[in-house]
Amino acid sequence: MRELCRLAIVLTIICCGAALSLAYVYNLTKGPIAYQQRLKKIRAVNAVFPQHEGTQGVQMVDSLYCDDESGTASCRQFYFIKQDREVLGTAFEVATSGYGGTIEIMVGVSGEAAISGIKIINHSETPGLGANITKEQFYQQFTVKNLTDTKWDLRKDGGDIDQVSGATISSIAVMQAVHEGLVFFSDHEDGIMEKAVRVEQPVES
Amino acid sequence: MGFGAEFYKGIFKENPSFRLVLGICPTLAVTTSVENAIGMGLAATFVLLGSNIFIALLRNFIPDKVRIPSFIVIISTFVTITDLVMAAYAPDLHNALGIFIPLIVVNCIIMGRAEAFASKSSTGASIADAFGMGTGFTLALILIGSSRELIGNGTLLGFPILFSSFKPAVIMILPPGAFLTMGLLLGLFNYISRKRSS
Repeated sequence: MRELCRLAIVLTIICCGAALSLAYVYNLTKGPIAYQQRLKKIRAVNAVFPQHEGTQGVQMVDSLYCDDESGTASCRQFYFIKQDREVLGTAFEVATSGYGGTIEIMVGVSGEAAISGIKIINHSETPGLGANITKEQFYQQFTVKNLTDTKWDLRKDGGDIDQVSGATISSIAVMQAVHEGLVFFSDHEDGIMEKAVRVEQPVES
Repeated sequence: MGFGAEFYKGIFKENPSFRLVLGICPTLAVTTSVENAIGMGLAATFVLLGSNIFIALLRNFIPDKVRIPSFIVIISTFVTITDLVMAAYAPDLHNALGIFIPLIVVNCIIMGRAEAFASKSSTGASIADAFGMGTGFTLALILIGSSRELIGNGTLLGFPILFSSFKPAVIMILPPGAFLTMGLLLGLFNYISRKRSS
């Protein structure tokens, strides 16, 4: 019995020590981690609007848009590029399942609901194959694609999107996610733009 | 054994990857590029150092019967600390290593050194052992990673090394390439150590 107590006490002491040090490190790194994640998204927004980066008087604002009508209360973060009071572009994040896990993509839309650019934020596709979706060559073809004039299918299925060779699943996943994002945006454009005009506070970067 | 001897044994004679053949899962999985290899090696070395120091310090305090759970708690604490610190201050590396940082918990090298060495040795010797084993592991990962990145992608640390007409053999950065490289390097190390002993 005494032996048993000793074992339990020693284990408890070790676990308490571990918990204390973890709590300390967690508190220390909480801020920097949140900051890094935000920075990554802001960089992605800048990457999908290369034409506006660094231009004088252009600001980035962000706002949460909640789709109340459907009742799902799903909210999405939208980023707006504004000059004076005019909204030059809107960026939003879409997520999808690829071949190796979730793929997160930032999609930028400028006037007439045409894509300004896309950027993969996170993915875990196979290096050398699926991971090639992060290459500029694959990104570029999405520029100026839109809902009305583009056939959202792979070239081999009679569509307008070139796939990454050897990575059909990853390519389709990105294509569909971008397409769905565009559909959502065009369905809710009025509501989203209303938010864009109201928000004034620029994003810190 | 002195500090130097404890250190050097991890690099060749008892190299964790090629001589003890421990921790093969992360070794095969992360060595698609030199950058990943260095990151994984350094992260594992840090965890090994932390766990070896604490386990050596507490070796007379931890009863034999609960030593394995105690070791696991200490190791996983260090792994979580490494994970959080990397996410906060080296986000790109953290992204590249992904799931392999939490997996250091079950890396046999760390558990193996805790059980076979740190729980029976002085703190100083355990520090030397951790540095030696960590360096040996890192060097082994760099060796595998550079062979795979060079042949599979034509680059080293992301810089193009081979002439532009070189067509990379993608299989080398896919899982089969890991086994091919590992097998050939294991053979080479066995050959060298046999030559040395005879």
